[in-house]
Amino acid sequence: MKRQLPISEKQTSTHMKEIFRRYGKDTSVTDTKGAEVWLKKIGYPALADLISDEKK
Amino acid sequence: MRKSDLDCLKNIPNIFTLVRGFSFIDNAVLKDNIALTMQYIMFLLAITQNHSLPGAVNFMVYKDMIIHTASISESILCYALETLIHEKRYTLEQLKLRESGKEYTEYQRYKNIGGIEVGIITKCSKYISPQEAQFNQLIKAGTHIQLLKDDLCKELDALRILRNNIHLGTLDDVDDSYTVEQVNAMFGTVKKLKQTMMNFLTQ
Repeated sequence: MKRQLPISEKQTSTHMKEIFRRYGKDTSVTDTKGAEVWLKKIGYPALADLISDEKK
Repeated sequence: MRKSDLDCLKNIPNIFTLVRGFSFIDNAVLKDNIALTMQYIMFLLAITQNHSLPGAVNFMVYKDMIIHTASISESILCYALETLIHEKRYTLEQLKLRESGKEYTEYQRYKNIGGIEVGIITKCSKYISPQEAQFNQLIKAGTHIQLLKDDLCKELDALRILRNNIHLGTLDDVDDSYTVEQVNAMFGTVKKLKQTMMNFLTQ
């Protein structure tokens, strides 16, 4: 059964489609883990924490 | 090579992924805009990491990151205050957000016990919503209702002042003194603000 999205996520999804329609495709990275490791490695730990998915 | 195949993009999450980090925000457009800005900040970082840029360009990249970081902070704070008003946890009067530069005088007449009329002229200004307020007013309002502790208030104010360097005509010095440490400190401030707002809005 398809998961029922909360209203705000539905809006986001619609909005994202509009963004892609306007600007073309986005990056293919669908997890923040790699970016978090990269940011910590180059000396930006606070930014790494900032992008972290709070639900993890 | 297509633009999106640039090597420096290989670590940067897409917008939909970055949105998840701000799921405490219920406003989908704001979440998208924050995610777009975060992605752009990471793109700027990737550019500085992958290329040897002239010093002046590096400074301007740092400045750009600071400006965008300030805009994220301002938007999160504004959203939090708007939410608190919307949920009736605070009133506009309690936030003490007033229209600046548009004070007007009000004349009120009172009668004292002896029946003698006394007139008082008071200086007034209208209350405004957080969306109509400026960053410095939002910081003061957040501090006033103890949403922001003293250290976070000072950090946000420092970020606001640096962001104001966007007004080149007001600067007394050449605008070339931004550092990695400043940028890192600003990211730390947004991280702290995000955590504070998450705790406050979900309690």
